[in-house]
Amino acid sequence: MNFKSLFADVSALIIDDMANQQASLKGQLAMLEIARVDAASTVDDALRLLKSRRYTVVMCDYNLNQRSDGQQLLEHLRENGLLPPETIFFMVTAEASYAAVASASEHKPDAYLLKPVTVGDIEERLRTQIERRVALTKVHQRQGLGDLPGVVAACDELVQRKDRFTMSALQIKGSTLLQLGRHEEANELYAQVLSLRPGLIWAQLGMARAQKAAGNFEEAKALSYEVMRSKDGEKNVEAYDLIAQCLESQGDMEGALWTLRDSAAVMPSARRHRLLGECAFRNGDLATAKECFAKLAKSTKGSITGQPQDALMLAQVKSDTGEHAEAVLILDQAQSQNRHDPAFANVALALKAQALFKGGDKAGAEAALSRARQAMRRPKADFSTVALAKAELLGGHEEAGLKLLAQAVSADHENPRVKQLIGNALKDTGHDGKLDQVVSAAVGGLNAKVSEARSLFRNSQIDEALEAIERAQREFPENSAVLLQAAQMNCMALRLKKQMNLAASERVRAYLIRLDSLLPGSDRVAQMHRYYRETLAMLKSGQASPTALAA
Amino acid sequence: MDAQIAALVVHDLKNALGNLESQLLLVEREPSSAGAARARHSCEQLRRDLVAFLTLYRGDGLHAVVEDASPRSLLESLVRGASCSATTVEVGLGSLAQSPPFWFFDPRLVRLALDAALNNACRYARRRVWLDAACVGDVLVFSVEDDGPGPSNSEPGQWSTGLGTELCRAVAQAHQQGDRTGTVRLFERPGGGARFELELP
Repeated sequence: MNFKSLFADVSALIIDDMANQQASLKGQLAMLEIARVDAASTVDDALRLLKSRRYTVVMCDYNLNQRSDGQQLLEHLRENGLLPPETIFFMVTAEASYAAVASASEHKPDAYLLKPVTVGDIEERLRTQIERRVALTKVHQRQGLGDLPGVVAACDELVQRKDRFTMSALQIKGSTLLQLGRHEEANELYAQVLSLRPGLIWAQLGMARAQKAAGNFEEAKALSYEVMRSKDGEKNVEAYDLIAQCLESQGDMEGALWTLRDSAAVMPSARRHRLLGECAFRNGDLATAKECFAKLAKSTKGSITGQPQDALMLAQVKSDTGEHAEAVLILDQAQSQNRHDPAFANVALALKAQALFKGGDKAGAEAALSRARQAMRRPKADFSTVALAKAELLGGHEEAGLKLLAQAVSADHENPRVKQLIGNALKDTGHDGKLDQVVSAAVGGLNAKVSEARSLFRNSQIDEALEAIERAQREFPENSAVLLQAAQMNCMALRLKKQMNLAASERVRAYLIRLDSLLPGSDRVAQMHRYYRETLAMLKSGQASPTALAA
Repeated sequence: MDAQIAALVVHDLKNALGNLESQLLLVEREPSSAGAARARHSCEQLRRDLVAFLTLYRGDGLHAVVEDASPRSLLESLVRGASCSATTVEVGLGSLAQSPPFWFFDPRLVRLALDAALNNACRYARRRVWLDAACVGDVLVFSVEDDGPGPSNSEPGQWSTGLGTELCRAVAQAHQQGDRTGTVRLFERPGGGARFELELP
């Protein structure tokens, strides 16, 4: 059979620690006229090759016989954006472990190749995937450019063709509509797919996401539970995540914690334990947090699934539960492994100061704290700022500690997770009950600034209102509530003036970019994107009206 | 696993290995590409049986991982595979006029089942085997037809150990949609020969 034309441009990477298996796969690829083949025996070699060149296909053995398996490598590649969307990933697995591997993974490969792998198997899977990528070329191009409306249009073209890629196109279109904040259309699309094939998991989950985006948390939860109860969905951790997110949005933090606990039981992966550990820590459930981070430290030792943050969290929890010496030991060990990461070093110093204060080594603690202070740049609504604040409070530097916490609150005062972290820090340092004081001190000035801008806007002093909100966002550049307000006011001003203003339009775009990184996947941000797009479209068609975005 | 089935399966595998051994002996004495192709075909047969065996009797049951897949692409791939093997029977596609662009099934399992059915059809066919797919009402029907003597005129226990039949039945049953389950049928083909059908909801 002549494969020259179909596989002429194909390049392949084989990841397998067994030399004979590598040779066998290479020989089979050669029979398909695929000559550009690299091979890696270790995860490190594979990462180096994947960073240096682009492959059409990666064939990875599941059992790499090291600390990381093929599935963990795939998850690492996808989560860190190291695998281009057009690269095909095949997982090579034994028949006996296929079912377990396929059902317990958050990131699916494009296909599984079951041993013994034959030329026919590779040819068939590769042909299917190449045909799929060719059909989706335009969609992928638009995705690469970040042109979401273009993605929707390209998907519509594909759906019109009514060929075998209809479902792929509908699936991408649905998730793109959700990203665009067009949840009503997404919901309609998923309903249409489910009428074609009841019980299709991705469509059920898509509909649940659309309901969540519309604020219909009960409906979203009911749909997710339906997925979990189905035969194919019992291990679907996306359904668990959706329920946890809905519960968190409804203020039921403990419910969210229990849901994540269930998901970690269903799929005991590093990522699941990390999510559960972080949630438990925020909720003050230190026993669960300690158990999770200890498990993580053990299971990810020497593996690519480990993250520097894991050691920091374990040290924090150990310190909080009275195991000060162990916390210091963990930090010292992790420090040597992350010596080139300044962000790690800063937090580690603050945590070390906490542990040393608690352990009674005041001089050592003050020395670490002093270095941590110097390393701190602008306080943010994050773990590192809270860690430093906690060290200050433990060292008796109440003013400095409370000031840092106030800065963390004002950086993003509507973020409930930050409030949880700060509340815990105050409680642990004997400043129970000061949360309201810290929040009101921090937010008072901020709220006054936003109210002033709003009141100016209501009095039709549009330019003055925009100046006021600009001042607020310059002072609190990472406060999502201020950024959302600034984006909305600028859009409303554009609509009122019925005239394109490039500077204002660019400002909104910049706010939205910042919001995307502050609140990834947020429905509110998606809706603001939509409001912005609609504003531009109205200005273009000359139909601008000042209708405000529904809350 | 039933002891009788186990014995039959082992018997079948032993025979396939014996075949392979004699073919390799011939190639060793008189190297030829035709001889090597025959040996490879026996190897394929052996592997197919082992995969079928493992798929069926792994212990945790057969679970279909359903996705949207093209019946046409699957059948085309089976035809390509058959044309590479050492069979003298001509394997082709039916009209596929009623075949939908996609259907929801587990392509790996359905391929295993159709491969077993195709292999069986090739064993009995005189000259030709046809593969087809059609949407009939709300089910997809894959069919494998041959121009052999037909099921009623074949030897009893047609599919040697019955492993292929068992596999097809298990694959059909693993495909469920609501309260509907897949089915398999083998009957006389109008005009002579046999027609095997795998029906998926």
